[in-house]
Amino acid sequence: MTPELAQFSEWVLALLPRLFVYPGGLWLLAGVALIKLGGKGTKGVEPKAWLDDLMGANLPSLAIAWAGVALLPLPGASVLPLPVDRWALAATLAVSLLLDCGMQGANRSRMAQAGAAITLAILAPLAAGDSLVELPADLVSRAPLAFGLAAAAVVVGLVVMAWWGGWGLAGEVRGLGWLALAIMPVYGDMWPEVTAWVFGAGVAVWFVAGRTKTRLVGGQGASGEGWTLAILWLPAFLALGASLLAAR
Amino acid sequence: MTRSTGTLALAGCNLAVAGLQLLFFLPVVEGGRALDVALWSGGPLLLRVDRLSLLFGVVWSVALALAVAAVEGNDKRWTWLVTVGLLGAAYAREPILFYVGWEVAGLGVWLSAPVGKGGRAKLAALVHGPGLALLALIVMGGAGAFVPPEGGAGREWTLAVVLLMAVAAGGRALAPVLYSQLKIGTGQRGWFMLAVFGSTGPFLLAKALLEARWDAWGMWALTLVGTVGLLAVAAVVWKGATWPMPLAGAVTAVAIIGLGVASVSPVAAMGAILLVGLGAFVPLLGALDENEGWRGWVMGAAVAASAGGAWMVVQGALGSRYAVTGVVVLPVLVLVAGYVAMSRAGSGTEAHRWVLIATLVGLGAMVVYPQAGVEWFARPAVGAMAGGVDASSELISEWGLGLVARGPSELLTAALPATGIAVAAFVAWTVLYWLRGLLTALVKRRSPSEPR
Repeated sequence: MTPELAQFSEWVLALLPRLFVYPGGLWLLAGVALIKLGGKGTKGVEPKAWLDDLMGANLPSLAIAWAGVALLPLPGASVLPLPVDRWALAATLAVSLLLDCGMQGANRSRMAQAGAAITLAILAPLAAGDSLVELPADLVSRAPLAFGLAAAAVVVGLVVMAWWGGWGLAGEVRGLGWLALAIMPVYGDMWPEVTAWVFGAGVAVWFVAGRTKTRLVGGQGASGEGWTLAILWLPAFLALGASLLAAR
Repeated sequence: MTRSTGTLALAGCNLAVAGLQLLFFLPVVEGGRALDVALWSGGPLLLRVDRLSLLFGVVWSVALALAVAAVEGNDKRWTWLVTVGLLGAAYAREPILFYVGWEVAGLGVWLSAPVGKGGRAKLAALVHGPGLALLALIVMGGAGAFVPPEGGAGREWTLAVVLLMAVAAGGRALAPVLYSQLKIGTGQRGWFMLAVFGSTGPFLLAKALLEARWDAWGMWALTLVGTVGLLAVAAVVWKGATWPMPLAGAVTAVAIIGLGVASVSPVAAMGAILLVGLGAFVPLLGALDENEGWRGWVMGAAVAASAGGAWMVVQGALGSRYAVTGVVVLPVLVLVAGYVAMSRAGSGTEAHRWVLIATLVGLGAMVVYPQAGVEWFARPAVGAMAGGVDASSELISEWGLGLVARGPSELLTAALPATGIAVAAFVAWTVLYWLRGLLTALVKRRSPSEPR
């Protein structure tokens, strides 16, 4: 066996627990259940609701989002021989979004705008570094504002999407991936405990947003235009600006 | 139709077996370790518990549970033979034990899979025929491992081994395809069981590959099997079968060919891994239009090639500071072109034109970007960012000629995560595809008034 093939073999074997246990698989399922609970209450986690969601899902989009989450550098996940960089993970989730936007009946404009704003926020910290693919090890101390704004922008984007609702199973999986990606400064090996808590807090905010959407924006009928769009895009651009300033 | 208590118990037993394997063997294989167990003290016949055997043992147990519980069928009395046989094959270290497990499982499949009129003899040939090739291999190599004879292997001996391996593993792998295409049997359960049984073919090859027992000629056997599989798939497609069955076969065949060729050189290994990655994208993208038949397959393959190519450029050429412009622009262009192609797929000729455009853009990106990017994007960008100073040749050589100058190992390192993402997505899609199919079958069975 050539060393390259052995390396690939190791990579794929390390992938399996990630895909089926953590961060993909069971862990992902629990996260999605929590989000559904926030958005639709107990009805959202009934077997029929899961079945309907799966039947109506765009499988390629869902599969790519699942793969993206499985490869996330979350604390405690099995170590890949070669980590996947931030750009590739963001692109994976973006491809999932792209495929989902082609679904008939989906609100393409809303979904695309929210996804684009969140992707911009995730990639924004790269502008403060030297490379498109790797974040510098000292990013948090070098550009704390940029990093904080980027993470906040993603949380805000998810909250707005929770208010809008109707983003499907693939969208919920993607959302968890975006959130985890936003709070990972350097592949998750910096402050793992803190990262885990921040992630939990992000999911909690998302959950609360789902529970309060009816009161705040009128539930499913809420418009994709207007003030929610401003809320969506502003933090993303602020994060980009802060990153560019930090680069100087 | 309702499920009987016996059916549920049988499914539960298979699930319990899967759980027990995980419970007892997961700690054993932690950190890549393996455990050899002799069937009796000092005996020559050994079982081996390693990651590969555990993976297949658990997957087969779960698959059989699903086959018993969720898929329509006739006779479930002999499923235990399939379970025992497959577990024997999964954990066999010695080829002779593997062969016994294979045949026991084949017997169970033969007894329980539904067949049409006169199909029983054909099914026997299908499940037991390839085993004869493995038996011949064992006789040639002795009862122990498949090793060349003392003094090295002659050319004829090697060729015979390759051919026998191709027949044994390839015959098994093609069992579900032949079962339905030759109209030996009907019904979902029969096909499902044959599919589970057929996966023992690639497993045998994977076991050989990972244990590196067969060196280069084992790899060439893989290539041969893959080629045969690909030809069979082409024949099936030619006859007008719709995907996903030929598609799944094609992906497997491409992957097998790639692994086989990988023994030649690092460059070939790199190409092999790329093939696996691109092949993995095919069903994902082809799935967007399941009614397109082979057109959907072609479309998916073309778009996958372009997207994968662009992705490769991203992963291979980047890693340094200034390669910004082309890296952002090209994948976006290709993905947008692919998206447009897919969204217009229903309109026949027009769809294929778009697919062609997407493919050309992707392939062009792979070939042209490393060189042209230097002149068109990097030099002006670097000049501007450096305050008018022209880019140094050192900087350009750092990344600009990346795909060529860095050499295969560098490129392979860069390609691994990209290909890994594709593999992960393929595995995820396969699981979802089967899950949705099984849930659909279950829902239909719970509402008998609905026409099937």
